[in-house]
Amino acid sequence: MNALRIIFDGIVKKNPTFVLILGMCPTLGTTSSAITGMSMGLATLFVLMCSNMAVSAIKSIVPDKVRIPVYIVVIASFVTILQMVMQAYLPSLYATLGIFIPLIVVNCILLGRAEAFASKNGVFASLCDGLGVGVGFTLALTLLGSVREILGTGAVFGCQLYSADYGALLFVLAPGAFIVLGLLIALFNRLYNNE
Amino acid sequence: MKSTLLTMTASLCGLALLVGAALAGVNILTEKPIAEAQAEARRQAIAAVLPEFDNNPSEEAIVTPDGLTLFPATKNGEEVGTAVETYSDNGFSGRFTILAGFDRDGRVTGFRVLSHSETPGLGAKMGEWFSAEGTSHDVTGHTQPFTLKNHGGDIDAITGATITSQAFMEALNRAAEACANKNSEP
Amino acid sequence: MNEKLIFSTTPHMHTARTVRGSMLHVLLALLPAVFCSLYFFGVPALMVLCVSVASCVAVEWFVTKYMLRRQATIGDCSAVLTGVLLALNLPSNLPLWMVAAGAIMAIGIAKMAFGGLGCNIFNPALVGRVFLLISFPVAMTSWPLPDAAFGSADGMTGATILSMVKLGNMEPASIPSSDMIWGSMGGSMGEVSAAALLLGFVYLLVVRIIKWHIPVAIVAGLALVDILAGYPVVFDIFSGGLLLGAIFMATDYATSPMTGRGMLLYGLFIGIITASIRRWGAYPEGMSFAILIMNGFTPLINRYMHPRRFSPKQRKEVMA
Repeated sequence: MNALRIIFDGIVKKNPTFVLILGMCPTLGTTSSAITGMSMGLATLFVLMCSNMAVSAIKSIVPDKVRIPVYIVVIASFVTILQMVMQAYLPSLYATLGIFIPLIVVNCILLGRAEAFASKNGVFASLCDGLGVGVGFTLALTLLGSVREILGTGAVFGCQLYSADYGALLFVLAPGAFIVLGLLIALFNRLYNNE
Repeated sequence: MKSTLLTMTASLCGLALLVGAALAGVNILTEKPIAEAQAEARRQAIAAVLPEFDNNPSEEAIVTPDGLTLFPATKNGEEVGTAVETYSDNGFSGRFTILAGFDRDGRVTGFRVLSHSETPGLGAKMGEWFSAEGTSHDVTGHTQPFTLKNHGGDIDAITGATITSQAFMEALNRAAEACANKNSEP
Repeated sequence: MNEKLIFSTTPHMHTARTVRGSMLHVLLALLPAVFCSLYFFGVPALMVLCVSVASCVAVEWFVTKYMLRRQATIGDCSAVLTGVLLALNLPSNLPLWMVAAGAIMAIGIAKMAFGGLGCNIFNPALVGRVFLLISFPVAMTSWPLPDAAFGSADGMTGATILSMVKLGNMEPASIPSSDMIWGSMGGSMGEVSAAALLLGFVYLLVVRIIKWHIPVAIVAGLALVDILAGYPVVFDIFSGGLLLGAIFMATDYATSPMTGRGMLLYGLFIGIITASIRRWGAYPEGMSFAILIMNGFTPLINRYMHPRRFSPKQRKEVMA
């Protein structure tokens, strides 16, 4: 298993959003625009890499029966650190993502990767897995956010493509998240599972 | 590792200690920047809705019984206006808060939406809508009472978002009221 | 595979009646309402109707041919019916590209993405309408006031009586009930004339396309809440899209329960939810939301209120 293979797997074959269907709460909740979707993805990417490394490093000294609480404590502390740092140095981004940051703790991707990968593999491999899955998550959220923002407001990343009067508001609201996500999953399946 | 009472207790306690120490360290490092960032954000918001001032309104803040916060602003010791953090619970999706600035005569000098969960593209437009210069829905320079046209007033509601507009008027009236009360007291 | 075996979704009926036949009957029943809307709203209404029907049929043809690669199903006329119903649920001055967008949503997402006719959980025309209502609230809530003169495209626009009452600008009692029955009031194309809709209802009952249960239960549910809330019942029944929804939308075969008891329960809750949204919700009209909510409950109702084929005793024997 080489590092590139693991990273690629995380982005495509084990894409958390389109293949594993994990972490739906932030996926649906934060993608009302491309920029918030991407920020959420990057924040998750950071926590995922840190927690994967930490879990892998301590895997031999954690008793089996308490491994889940240990993973959760590790993940929660990285999230708290991220939250404090963000609040101090990136207050405007914190204002947008504020309520979603603590939710990273309960994102099943983190616990899922800790349990399925980091607790069985070395530190470097776990770092690569965190990077791959995290990037896959970030790309998926950015894509979802872009599609919703374009359809809903006619703009993406602050660049107006057509008048906002032609934007269908439904797509920036909650139902639009479900519809666009469903269509993107269908498209992803079509492209990658075309047997 | 084998799960015995000893290893389980030891590993959980050890982890808690380690993590606690790490979080305490980060907290010490970020405490001051966080406070500064929050104070700066508030100062900027107040500066945006009021004319020039040279005191620190946050230090002289007054909280009224109905939950509004008043920030009096002075220049060379003379009052130039008051910023009021006001709210309405009757928005289309519940409470929103705005910071409104009033000069000494009760005229609106500016406002800023602090937090809301109104519908994007409709109620969420209130920030631009009620400050669009030269329109019949610009509240700048307006005094109490703030009333929508369909209730016999002179302010146009946001097209398609009458409920938000009504709630916005309610928040402004509440702020103006609190401001007037403050000025009438010595 | 044996070509003689036909696999299809429930409900199954042994009858000479075809899907196409039923759809044509419903279309026939809608004719009075269609004529009324054309009479009141003129050429713009005709444009909305044509665009709606054409785009519904086109979307269904495109999806079946190029995405599902199946035999075309547009011959069964269900897409035409969806198009007509969608048009009747829209204001006649809606920009035509929005009508087409609603049709794409109705047929593409609500019907074909679920597998086509019979597999859809939600009523396609209503999904199209709700999509437009949430997406373009300003365009969807400024209604042209009916004008009998043909071709007056720039007639006055105004709110529906329901939204005026909601905002407290109008008393329900001040509206002459003859206006509501004949249709001289603002509203969607198909919801203005109660008499035309009732005519269609009678026709559908006579040719036994629908049963009386759902429409009657809806009115009963609405009346129940209104009486408890002390609100004029008759006004509420004849205003807004209640009759159009109760007669033509809620009774859609694929999305409503199969048994009489199930239909009564389903209708009752549609009425209660509609009245609740109208009285206490943020929207002035709740009919389309109520029907969609109960569409979601239909599989559950079918599950617990299925027709009893054997008496309980016999059934035990069969199971044993």
